[in-house]
Amino acid sequence: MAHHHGGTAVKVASGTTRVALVGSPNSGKTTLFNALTGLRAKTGNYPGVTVARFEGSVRTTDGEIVLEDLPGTYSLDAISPDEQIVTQVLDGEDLSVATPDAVLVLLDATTLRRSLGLLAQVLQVGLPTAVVLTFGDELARRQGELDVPALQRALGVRVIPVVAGTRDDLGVLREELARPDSWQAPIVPPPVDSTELREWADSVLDTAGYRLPEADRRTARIDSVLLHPVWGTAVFFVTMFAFFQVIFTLAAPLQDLVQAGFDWLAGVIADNVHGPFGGFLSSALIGGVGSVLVFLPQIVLLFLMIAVLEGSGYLSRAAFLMDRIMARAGLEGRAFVALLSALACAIPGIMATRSLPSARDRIATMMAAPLMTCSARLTVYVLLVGLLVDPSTRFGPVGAQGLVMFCLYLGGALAAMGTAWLFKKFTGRHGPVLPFYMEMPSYRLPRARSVAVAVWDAAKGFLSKVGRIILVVTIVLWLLLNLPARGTSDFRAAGINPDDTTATSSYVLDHSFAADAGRAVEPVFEPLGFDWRINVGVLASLSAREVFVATLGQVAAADNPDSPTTALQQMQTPDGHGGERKLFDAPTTAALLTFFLFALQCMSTIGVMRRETGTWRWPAIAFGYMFALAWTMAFVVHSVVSAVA
Amino acid sequence: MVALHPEPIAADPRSVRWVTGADVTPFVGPVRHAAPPLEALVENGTVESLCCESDAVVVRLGAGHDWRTTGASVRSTLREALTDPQHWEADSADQWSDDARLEAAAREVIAGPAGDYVRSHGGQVWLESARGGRVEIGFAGTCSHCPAAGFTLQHRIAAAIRERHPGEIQVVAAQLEASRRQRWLTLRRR
Repeated sequence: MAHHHGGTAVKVASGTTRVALVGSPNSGKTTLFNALTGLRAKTGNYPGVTVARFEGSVRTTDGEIVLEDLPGTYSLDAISPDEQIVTQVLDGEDLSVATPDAVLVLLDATTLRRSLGLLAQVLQVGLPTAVVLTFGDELARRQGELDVPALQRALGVRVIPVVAGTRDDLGVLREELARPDSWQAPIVPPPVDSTELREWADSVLDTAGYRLPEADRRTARIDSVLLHPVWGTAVFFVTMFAFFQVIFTLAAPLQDLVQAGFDWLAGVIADNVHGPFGGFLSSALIGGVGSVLVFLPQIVLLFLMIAVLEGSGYLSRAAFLMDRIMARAGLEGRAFVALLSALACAIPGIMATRSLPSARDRIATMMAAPLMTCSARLTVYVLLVGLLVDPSTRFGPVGAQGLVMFCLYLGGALAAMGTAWLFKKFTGRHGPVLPFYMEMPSYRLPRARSVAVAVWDAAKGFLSKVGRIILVVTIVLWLLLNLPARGTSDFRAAGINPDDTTATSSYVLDHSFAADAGRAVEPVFEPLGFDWRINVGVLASLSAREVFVATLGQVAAADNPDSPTTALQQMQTPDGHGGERKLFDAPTTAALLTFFLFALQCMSTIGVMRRETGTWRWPAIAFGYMFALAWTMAFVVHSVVSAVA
Repeated sequence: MVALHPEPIAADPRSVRWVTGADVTPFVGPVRHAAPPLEALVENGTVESLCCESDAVVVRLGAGHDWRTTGASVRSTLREALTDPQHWEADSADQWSDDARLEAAAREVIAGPAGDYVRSHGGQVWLESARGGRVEIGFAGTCSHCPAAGFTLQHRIAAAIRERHPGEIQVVAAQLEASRRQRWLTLRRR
């Protein structure tokens, strides 16, 4: 998974020199791109396709140039849509995307023979080209040999060795980037014919005195354990166990700390600010935005661990081990990484699909990611499982609540796999079958900078994007729940004591615009046992699932909107036969849990899906598909539980 | 088959060294007639001249032709012609001899990067002789007193000559005549 420094999509001014960065996956391309552009990268999409586009400005010794990081590719024979983009960008006759003024090709010194094939194709294009040679340090460590000046003579273009992240090397590169117009195309482009091409590569490597690096002994030794059918799988499960332990255990005290901060803030507000504005601050800001910010430690920890696992090279091994299981859903091992990220939040999960070389796999994984049990669902699950299952119920040593929770996680994972399989089949007719290629990079110490950038990006993205959406929705929701405004005369007319705050707020709520909306959608949700109050919660949770908890609290007019369980347990609703029933009876609660398991109630996810696919089509399909699935499954569960109970 | 790659010659944009590796070119020196397909390019004026080196063929294009457009056809024709060494003709029979090939290899190395290295350090290097598998290299300038001269001779020059002329050869520093030895000012009484 490539951690680009994210940002908003901004068009870079035309007129500046544009240099494209071309290289195979794992050639150190993204590391170099991040190092050169620093924190000034912009992301976007290529028109009409699901391929992320990265551009950044680079300060050279002579002004700024624009560097465009093209998708990692092994060749220009466009098999996948991503490779097609590279071909299109380099093709001067293709007017749909701008052709760069020059090309910087990354060659991994440890896999030089394979990289030369890509270079040959780029050189055939005839744009001014320079070569950046990466991992020369690793070649030397593994006793390989390469004569760089001879390689430069043989290739006929400038070759700049760079150990990614070394300032001196980057200085040389910045000097070269200042004058890409002086870069040359080779006097005779490399041959096209595959036999001649192989001979050309042989001849170039021979002249450059290239001696293949020895197999990395350290990596081979570690892999003999980590990729072992038995030990490897064991280590994998221990790693995954530790992974979740860290997310759900280590994050807990940090979460409590954030929660304590908001509680303190709520206290200060309650003591000092009164009236509607005080209500707005405590319920909308603290209840809405605060309940989401609580999940920041989890997001940071998750990305920290993924960045470390990726930087060290273990993530490729985990993906390799999971490949067989993922294959059953028609996906490759790399999709596992995306689905793993989706356990914290579907947004990083969807962003992680950028690492998938096939656009078709990307769509299927993107459709599956929102079904993985994200941390936002956790809050809802905790509330509803508490209502459904008595905490004292046990099956032997296993608590029933924990078991239900486990089933919900398992159900989410199974639903995700099934969805991936379905969409793979559904989109399969259009795309070609892609050859699978996965590279096991040598084990490396993760670079602190890359890890920091990944974590910082995740935290910033979470705070700004999710925070913005939830803030807006919570404000709107608060208004809808409290409008139209009621005065003392309204309460008197309805026979309510205007001094009884619980009664008046309940009256305002009952006659609010939100209540109207909740009643309006009643026909849709009635078969599931939902009444208008749940409907308001479900509608509100379309923005973000956590809002359901806070909204239900407000709707129930409970004393504490963050733990409304007691108030909710007492809540009654007409049973349709002239009597009353508990609103949160077993069939309704089970149906509600099932609904939350499948439904795509997250505007941020929809927004990110739109950004990543470049079209509204896929988010619309995902929303429709998951809503239909959620409703149907909830209906089935409601009927089955009703029949049993 | 023949593994080839082109290297430009800075001084002459019309010429390209097609590097073939050792023992591929039929002989060394100017080419009178190449094997048929390549000879056709000479006859129609695409190629002006051909010259064989120990590990390359230098091709000079005719006026009005440029490498970007004709490069691919020259490459495949050259490739084909090199598999047919019997049909190449040299100006003289000497060009076919092993001594000529060894001498060419040594001269190319001295003119190339290995020689450049010596010259960049203020040394002078030249070929004394190349005969019967024995190459004598002359050194002067800073080389005459340099303790690393032997290392440079074996690891740079001899290694490069062996790459172009595999087989048993001996590369040694020439025993210089007094007249060619550089005289240095010295305080020592003679």
